[in-house]
Amino acid sequence: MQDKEIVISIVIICTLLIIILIGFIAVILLLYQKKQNLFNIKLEGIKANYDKELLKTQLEIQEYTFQYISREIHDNIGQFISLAKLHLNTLEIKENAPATQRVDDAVELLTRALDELRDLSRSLSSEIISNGGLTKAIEQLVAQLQKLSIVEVAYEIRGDYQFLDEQKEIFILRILQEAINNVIRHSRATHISILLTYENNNLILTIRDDGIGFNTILIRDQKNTSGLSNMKKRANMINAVFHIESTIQSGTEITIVVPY
Amino acid sequence: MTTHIYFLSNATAWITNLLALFLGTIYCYRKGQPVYLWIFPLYLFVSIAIEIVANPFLIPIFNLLAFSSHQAQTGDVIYNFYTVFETFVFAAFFLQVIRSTSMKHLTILLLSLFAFFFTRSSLVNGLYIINDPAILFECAIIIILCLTFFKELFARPEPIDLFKEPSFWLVTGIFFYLAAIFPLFLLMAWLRSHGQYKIYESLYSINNFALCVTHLLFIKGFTCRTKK
Repeated sequence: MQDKEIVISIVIICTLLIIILIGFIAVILLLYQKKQNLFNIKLEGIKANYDKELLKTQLEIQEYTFQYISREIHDNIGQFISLAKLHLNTLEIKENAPATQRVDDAVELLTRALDELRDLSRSLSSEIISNGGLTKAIEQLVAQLQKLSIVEVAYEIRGDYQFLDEQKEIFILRILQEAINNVIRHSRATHISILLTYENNNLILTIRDDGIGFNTILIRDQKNTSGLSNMKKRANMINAVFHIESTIQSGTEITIVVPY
Repeated sequence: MTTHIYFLSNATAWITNLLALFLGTIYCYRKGQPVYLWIFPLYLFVSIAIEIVANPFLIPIFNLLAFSSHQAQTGDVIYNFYTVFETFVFAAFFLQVIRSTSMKHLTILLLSLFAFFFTRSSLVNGLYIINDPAILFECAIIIILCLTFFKELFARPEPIDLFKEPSFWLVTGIFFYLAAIFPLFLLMAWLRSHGQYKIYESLYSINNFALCVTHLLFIKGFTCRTKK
């Protein structure tokens, strides 16, 4: 074999070796990057699941606490107030004595306290959902609001009733309670309308008020918006779509679309 | 011309060897560097030292005859022992980077077999000819370890940046070198036995070229920034 031919062969072999090496390194790096990407996706999925489980546990604890407080109010505090009222009613006081009026006032205050506590206990308890369903629970809530005489409340149901999981109904009720709390505390509204629409595939809850409204983008960026974030978290837990629309001085509308 | 390419490839291999040794000495012993890097400057120092005393091409150029009239045979003896040294150095490195306990046990077993094989073939054929079968055995053992490393790399749950992982570049260099010379030494054994020394010498240039690339990959491994 000629010298020149040998040299050319060597050069070709060396070039091929370099190409193979570069190709090998490139393949390894690409495959490893692909594996990294899959690993990151899996990790994100695990994290998302963990966050969801954590949120679910937090909401369950919250719900348990509500039930506990409701029971305590009903079983203990309510009983003590009733007993106090009874004691006052059975006091032997002479008619037209100065203390009579005071006792009557005290009894009336205790009666009001008892009513408030009963309403509070009912709002915290989710037994109404188990006993009467979401529509009954909302009716009760509306009745309580109307008793307060702070706002006018209109409640409407559209469509035929469709069965919804009790857990979902409890969450919807809590969202509604939170929304109404926000209306009463912040919006200065005089009128609230609650619309419950049973569609073929979804339940739509719409809460509208004629209050002062707010800047949704500004509020979203603020830290102290636990009411709104609570509503969104509960909506996410039941795979509902949560939408809020508000214009300054034109009121606010909250829509929750819950799949069955 | 083939002599020129042989000389050129030899010279390039020495230069990259010296450069890798120099950079290895600076980088490998820095605080925070992995312990498995420590062995490489020693390996590179021994490589260059052997080239100075035993390389049949370098010696006539610089008129170095460390072993005077026995230079050629002594050179072969030194290269044979260098094969053993290289095998054990690479195996020591892999014992530190491979995680599988069973592979580590297998490595020790293979090293024992290698030592036995080398001793036996040296006794049978003598040390004064290059022990090609030992080189091929070394290639086989170390290539298996390289493949194990790559397999474990993909199996690791924790993500690592390969560009900053010294072991990746070192193993790639070793794998490339041994995978390149494995078919070469198979062919060269045949060429030598048939007296084709010119072609043999030319093909040895490929060995030198592969060494250059390996040294460059070693340099990349040494200079990886491992600090987070």
